[in-house]
Amino acid sequence: MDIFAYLEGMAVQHGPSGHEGPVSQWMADWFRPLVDTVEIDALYNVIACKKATLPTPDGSPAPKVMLCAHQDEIALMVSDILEDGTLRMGQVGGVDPRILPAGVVKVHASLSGEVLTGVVGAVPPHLLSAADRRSNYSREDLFVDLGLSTETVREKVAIGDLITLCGPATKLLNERCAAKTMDDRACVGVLLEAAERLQRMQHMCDVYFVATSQEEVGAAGATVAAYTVDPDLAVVLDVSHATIPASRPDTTVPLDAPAATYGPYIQYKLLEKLKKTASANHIKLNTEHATSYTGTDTDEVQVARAGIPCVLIDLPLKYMHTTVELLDMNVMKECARLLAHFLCDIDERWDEDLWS
Amino acid sequence: MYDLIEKLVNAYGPSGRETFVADTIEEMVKPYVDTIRRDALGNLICEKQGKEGGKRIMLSAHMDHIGFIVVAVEKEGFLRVMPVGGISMNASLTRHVTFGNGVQGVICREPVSEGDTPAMKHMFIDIGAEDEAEALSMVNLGDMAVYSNDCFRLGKNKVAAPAMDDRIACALLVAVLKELPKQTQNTIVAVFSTQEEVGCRGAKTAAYGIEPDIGIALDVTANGDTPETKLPAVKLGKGAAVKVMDRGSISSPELFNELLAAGKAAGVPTQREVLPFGGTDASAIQLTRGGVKVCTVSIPCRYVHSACEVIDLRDVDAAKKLLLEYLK
Amino acid sequence: MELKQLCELQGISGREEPVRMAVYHECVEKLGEENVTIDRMGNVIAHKAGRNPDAPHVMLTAHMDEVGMMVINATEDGLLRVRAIGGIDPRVLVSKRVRVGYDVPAKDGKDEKKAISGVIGAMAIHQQSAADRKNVLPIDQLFVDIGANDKDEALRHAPAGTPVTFDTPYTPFGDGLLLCKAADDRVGCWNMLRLLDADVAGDTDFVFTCQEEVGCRGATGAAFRLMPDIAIALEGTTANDAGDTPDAQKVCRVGKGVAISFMDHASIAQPDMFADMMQTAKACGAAHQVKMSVSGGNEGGVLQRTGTGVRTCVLSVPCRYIHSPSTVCAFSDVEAQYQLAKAYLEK
Repeated sequence: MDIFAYLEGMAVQHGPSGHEGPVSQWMADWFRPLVDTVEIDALYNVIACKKATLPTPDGSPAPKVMLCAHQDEIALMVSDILEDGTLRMGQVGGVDPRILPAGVVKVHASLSGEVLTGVVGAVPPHLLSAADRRSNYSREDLFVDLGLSTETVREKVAIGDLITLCGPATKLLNERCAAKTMDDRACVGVLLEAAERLQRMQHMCDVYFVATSQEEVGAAGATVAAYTVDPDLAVVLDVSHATIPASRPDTTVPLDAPAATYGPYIQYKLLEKLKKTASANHIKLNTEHATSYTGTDTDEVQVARAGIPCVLIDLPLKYMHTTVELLDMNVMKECARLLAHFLCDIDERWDEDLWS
Repeated sequence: MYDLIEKLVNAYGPSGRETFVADTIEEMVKPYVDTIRRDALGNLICEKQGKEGGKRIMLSAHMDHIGFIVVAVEKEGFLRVMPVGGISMNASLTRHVTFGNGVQGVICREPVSEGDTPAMKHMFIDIGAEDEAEALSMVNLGDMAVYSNDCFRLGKNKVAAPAMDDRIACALLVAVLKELPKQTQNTIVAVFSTQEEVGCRGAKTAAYGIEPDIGIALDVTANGDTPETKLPAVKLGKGAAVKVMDRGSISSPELFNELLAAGKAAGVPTQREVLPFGGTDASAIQLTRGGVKVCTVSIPCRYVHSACEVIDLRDVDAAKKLLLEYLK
Repeated sequence: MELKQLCELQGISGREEPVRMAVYHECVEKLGEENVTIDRMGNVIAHKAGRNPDAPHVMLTAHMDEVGMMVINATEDGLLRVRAIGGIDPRVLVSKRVRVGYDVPAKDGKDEKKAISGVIGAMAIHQQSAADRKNVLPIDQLFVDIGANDKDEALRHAPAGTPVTFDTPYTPFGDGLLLCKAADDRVGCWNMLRLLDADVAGDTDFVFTCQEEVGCRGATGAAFRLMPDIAIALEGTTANDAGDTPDAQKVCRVGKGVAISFMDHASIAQPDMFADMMQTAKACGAAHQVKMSVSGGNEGGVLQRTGTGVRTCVLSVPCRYIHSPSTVCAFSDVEAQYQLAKAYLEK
């Protein structure tokens, strides 16, 4: 798979949490040639199933493994139209207001059906008091300027219309790439790359690739997808903070290798198995901790139905929740290689000795 | 409509103690639905069978409202309380309250020393008892009090009362059930839910049992039309509000558009609502089993979670017509 | 099994295996292997058929996990960096002893494994500035010292993810009181093991749950699997009854009986069931009290909201200094919890 081509494509898709309709169609098209069935559910989860290619030796049903990475993105929303035709912004997921001033955004105007370009403005610094200049703008201080008259704006734009960020894929040195929505569509890319590798491998488990929805607002998609798929175990992929100069100790992972999370929400024996797979295949795997919630789909998948043992693979990413989210494309490939081998290591005895 | 509203806002029913409200509503809707049942959390579930192949549409209006629960009795006969749901201390001070057994009380606060933030631990209820023993002969630990009944008209179109959140939606749902055609395409499951104010607990189990295809919560929403309030951009008297999102859920874009279209077809005004806080039963319904498309139809309401929650009858009428058009 | 043994077993949330295996074997011994399962979350579920097929299906829970810490890294000079698992006030950690790793007896040809000891130190009072004295040391500035020379040696003994538990011997003290770690909720586990012998009216599932302290994760799945009519959680709860707490703010009192909750932050007890439980307590003579504050949360919340809803009640043993290395509870309250649960199950 041409990873950069995928990243270029995903960076121009718009799919804020709860509004993944179009991006889910786009994702489904990527999965279709690689799997047996693809479905999109009521919450826009893309559920792609690739059946086992090896029978279990004892004839028992194939273990079901669910893989999750989320397709939604953080965004803004028109919460009011002001007297002068500028737009006040609400948010969908956690948008850092520091990235907004003077940024370019797309306003998805529902009344006219157009995608309008807007600029984020603020009261200029020379009109602010000295104290206000020393602190960041909050979202309430900012507005979107569409450059249109109030009348025109009211004809085109309604409250509740989506505002998305712009951040096309930019190739950097050493196979690194920056774009918006690497969180977490880069991980959906890892699922695709793993699916492609599996075409040339044999596996005893049924694999469900799920591009989940609404992760940024509380993992609603993963909650219901896990109920539908009813897997025996799950692997969640999400991005994780990579180290930058301002990082505090023990809060980040290096950019140059995949990581796996440990902590109570992670089944520790499954994690050991994942580590074994990594070392057997010479894949460098760092670790990071989560003392309770992981802030990923794992939190909901683990407690779906009667409980689902989970492992969490982390793709290191710098500058998360900005429009220049930066990663190493070689690490995406390593993640996919690890995932494919792990799936091939799952046999009918996967849950022996899980709890002693 | 006013009489129906008055009857419902005057029924005692804090979170976890909704039985009386459920009894009242059951009497009202019995002739208009096919089956009525209650589940372990006390939800009143009224089902009206549709045609074969139709969808299952769940409508949810919560019966409970906020209140106070007795946690201790002072030697002097005063009751210490904790909040049940999101109680505002400011809105409660020196308010008249009533217990389920009819005992009356006044909410008061002890003097708060300078630098100390007033908190629930400073509040107490005076029920006129002279000592602990007399107090305990009037109420028990775990009994709940609510703002006393006080329903009245405000101007030409508005009505004020405690418990408008969410009895106004209960009234709306009762009215909708009464006016629905005898045979509908889809199966309509009207749920009068419990324990919304403490985390949408009733709707969660109700939806699990019902397995709906579509979920519509009916609730009140905050307004942005009184002095110095800006958000949300929703005004009283300007029509039913259809929710885009709040903290609890993001509405299904398809369902949102269908509801707006139904409003248009019914010729009633609608408003788009984006609420940066709060949540409704829709948040619980959405996550049920394999996922449910949800949206919320809201009645704009001023002073939510006070003893004087104000709504506009024109908005209720608009919401009723919108829903009848949609469910037709 | 004795309460002492249960309290001294190690098992932080997500790593309950020593408790799980001990409980599992005792259940198998009493009810037979065919009636005991370990589910996908790591809960132990022991099933006992009731004598009355019309009586409601009851799920009883007590959680196996305890609050503790987890190693996440080490400093260059060999101190372990740790994070809390479950709610621990960092103020209770300074100058305490801990066990790093688990004590695992030899089994199936595998060697015995021993935990190693560690201490949590902090700067000496002589060297502290005024600010040091005022500010609470957060857990990322507290370290577990196992005596290692450097980072490599420390992580060889305690790699990232290693569980850390309080090192508190089981100590009866005072007037019928017990000082130990993990009373929350090994007392519930112990009572449940004893209740396996009860002559239960309805079908009963005894569920030893995992991961309560990090969000009631185990009970969520177990309740989904069992879909009971009634659920009862046997818990340890905060008492807050010592020191100069005003009476009205005390939650419940150590030594005054099992605490029956009408409401906490996770659930409102089903009113009929609450009344029934009070009635049962009176009838069977179990010392009991009403939990007087709306505080804390526990498995009652997730149990109640399972499937189409479950009638739920929580019976707690009052504990002082809960979630610290030194929890205090009364033997008489533990006994009262047992008595009341038994009377209810046999009714």
